[in-house]
Amino acid sequence: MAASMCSKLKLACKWKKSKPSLHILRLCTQHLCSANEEVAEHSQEIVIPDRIERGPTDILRALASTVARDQTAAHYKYHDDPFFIPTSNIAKRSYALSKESGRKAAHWISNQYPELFEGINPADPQIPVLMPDNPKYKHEGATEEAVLERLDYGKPLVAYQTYQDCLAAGVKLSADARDRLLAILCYYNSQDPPLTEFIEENWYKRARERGVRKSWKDQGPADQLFQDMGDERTCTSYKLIIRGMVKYYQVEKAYALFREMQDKGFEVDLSTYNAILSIANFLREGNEQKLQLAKDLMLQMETQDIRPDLTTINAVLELLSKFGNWKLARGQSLSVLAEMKRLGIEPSLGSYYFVLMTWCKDKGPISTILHDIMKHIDNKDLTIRHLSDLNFFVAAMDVCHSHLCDMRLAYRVHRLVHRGNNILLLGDSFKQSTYYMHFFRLLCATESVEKLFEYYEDLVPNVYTPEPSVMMDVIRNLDANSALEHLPRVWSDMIMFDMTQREMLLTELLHVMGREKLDDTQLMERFGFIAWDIKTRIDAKLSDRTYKSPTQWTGEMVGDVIVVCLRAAMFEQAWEMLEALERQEHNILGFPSERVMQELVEACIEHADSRRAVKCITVSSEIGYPETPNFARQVACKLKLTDSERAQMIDIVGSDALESASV
Amino acid sequence: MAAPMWLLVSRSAASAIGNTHRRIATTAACCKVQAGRYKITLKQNKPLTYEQAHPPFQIGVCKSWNSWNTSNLCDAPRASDTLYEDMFIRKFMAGTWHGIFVSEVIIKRRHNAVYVSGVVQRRLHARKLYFLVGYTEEILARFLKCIVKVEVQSVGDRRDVVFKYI
Repeated sequence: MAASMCSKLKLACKWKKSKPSLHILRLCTQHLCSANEEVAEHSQEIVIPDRIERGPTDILRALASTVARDQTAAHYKYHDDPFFIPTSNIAKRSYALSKESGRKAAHWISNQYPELFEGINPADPQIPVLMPDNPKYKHEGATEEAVLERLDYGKPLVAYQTYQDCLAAGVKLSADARDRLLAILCYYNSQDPPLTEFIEENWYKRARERGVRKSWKDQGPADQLFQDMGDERTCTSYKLIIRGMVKYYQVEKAYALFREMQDKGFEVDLSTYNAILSIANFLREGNEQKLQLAKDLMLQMETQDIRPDLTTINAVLELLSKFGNWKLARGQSLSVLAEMKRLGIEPSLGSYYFVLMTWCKDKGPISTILHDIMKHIDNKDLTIRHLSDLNFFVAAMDVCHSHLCDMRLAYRVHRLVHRGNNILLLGDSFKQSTYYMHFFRLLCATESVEKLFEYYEDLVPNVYTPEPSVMMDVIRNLDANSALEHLPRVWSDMIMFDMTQREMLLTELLHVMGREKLDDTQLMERFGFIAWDIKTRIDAKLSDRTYKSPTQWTGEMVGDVIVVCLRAAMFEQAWEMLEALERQEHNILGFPSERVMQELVEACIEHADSRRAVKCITVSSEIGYPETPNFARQVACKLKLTDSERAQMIDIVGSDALESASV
Repeated sequence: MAAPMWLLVSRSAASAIGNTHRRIATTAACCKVQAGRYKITLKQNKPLTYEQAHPPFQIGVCKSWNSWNTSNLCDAPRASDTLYEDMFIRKFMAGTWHGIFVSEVIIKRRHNAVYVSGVVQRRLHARKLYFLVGYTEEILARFLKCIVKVEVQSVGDRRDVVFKYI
């Protein structure tokens, strides 16, 4: 019995490619005891898999992969306390940067007064990152060891100083040591390396601060060192200085040195070719010439039998994407991709980013290439392979929104971003908010309120705080779908996001609230409270002299506040608004519309307040509305006026209008 | 009769500061345990937090320890170092977060990190408190040569942590 079981199991294993089903496993364990010896006979085929090499953090990674980002909690750099959790974009930024600024202050103190930190609890062995930044060097004086030691401590400028001492003392450094010094100087552009522990600053740095501009230090230590080398320049020194110059956009000199290097007969390597390819855009005028240069460089590579890699291909694709609206570029970019496939190089997100940039130009024809790209990368766990990879998702969402206006495609991109660790490829804070801005604006433009709020609840405010333009779109979406019951929620979010002084937003919100009278009296009352809240907030900032650019009232806004207050049965507040309009005639631009005046007159009649009714008619005639005599007639019909009020009315609209009413 | 050991010590201490008079109190009041207990005031208006309201024998019953570490276990090292560092941290917090902490400073040692926590009042802008958090973490890390984390919770007003008035 047991033997037959075992043979069955083996059969099953064969069929299922060594994946025995649970059922068979269970049967097997039942008979395992009795069949032990026979199993031993038949089980020579069991193969123990090779040991998989694990890194020290693999278990942590595996554990982390079981937990998703909690969208309802703030980022872990903020303290989990209502007072410490930021909601507006400006608070997020200032809190994170303040914390880092505190750490910087501590750094400064530690470096300024190193003696204070040595007495207590000296660590053994020393922990360099927790020590004041004044390393005790073993080697002193002008020697090669001293230069290299200072390099190891991450002090290129001190090392350069020691190198100069060596020069003065007539000590000659070996070629290898000089190349090492040159490498560090080139890599950091003859500056001390930036502190890597301050990550927030990098995260919040504006994209344009890192933009394309020449920042190479001409005649700086790197240049000087390279000149000092004279005839002893090695192939490596050329490669190093060219790559350094390319990194900091000293393009002309880099290319000149590249030619010099070739003339001297040094062998150019892959990364140097890649560097020169990446600046081909600046070396020639005109698209044809630029492309020709790139082709020449690649032909040279071929003659030297150098296989291109991802960086090479991305450099070419980047060049093609810079060509403006040039038809040839699109075809070329596809053939580069095909070439890539032939060479067996898997395109990275950056490659697709450049293809997108080539095909989907602002003023160019509509292209659906993103659909094809998505076919290739959908449902994949992506990793960063090239610096430009970080641009892809932002660009893809931008294309979905402004180029194609395709919500279904946007969902696909969004799903891909939120798969596994792909979100790490979304880039810094600026890119992230741009991505979500496009996503939400597209949602507002195409989706229903329910769908919009599904994503809104999920991502706002901890993952993303909407910009004013997005809030504007949300309000318009609510208006278009006549879902005004969500407006109070939007207003409370606007307060949280610190948008209570955005004139455009306030105008739009008041306008939507004052558009028409709804049957829902409770909602109308809440609108009244919101309008009054807006009014108090604007007035508070107007009277606060320290506030630089307060929102200015416009006649339209005043009118909307009046109307909303009237509908919320807040007659006194509405009247206060009208009086404010009269008081600050010179500060308020424009007037309330005729419709507003009509509603106000009707409200006065309803409250049987003849004094105020006459006042309304005065204001209305001062503005010059043609309907004023009509208002006067209504008032005269429905209210008892005193003689002086009647005289006032006659003054304004003339006796004819009133008499026709009394007849 | 030979003087007891402590008397000799105190005599030598007294002579060291040049005081020839010895003062010995033998009343029961001297043996009264006073640490961690608060006197009732005349108007009974002295605010106490929950922590202060419970005398030390309630530690582990109604309230908890202010320092969490394993230095005082059998054969564990660094008992005095830990105490010294904790006092240093407490003094540092009292000076740097002046008048902001409304609870005791709780110091926990887990693995190679020191966690400094407590309740703060919202007297300063959150931005400034974040600056203090960053500053404290970094400078204490440099003093103690290990990772230091500050974990604070906030209350609107000092009165929010008052448990009773005595």
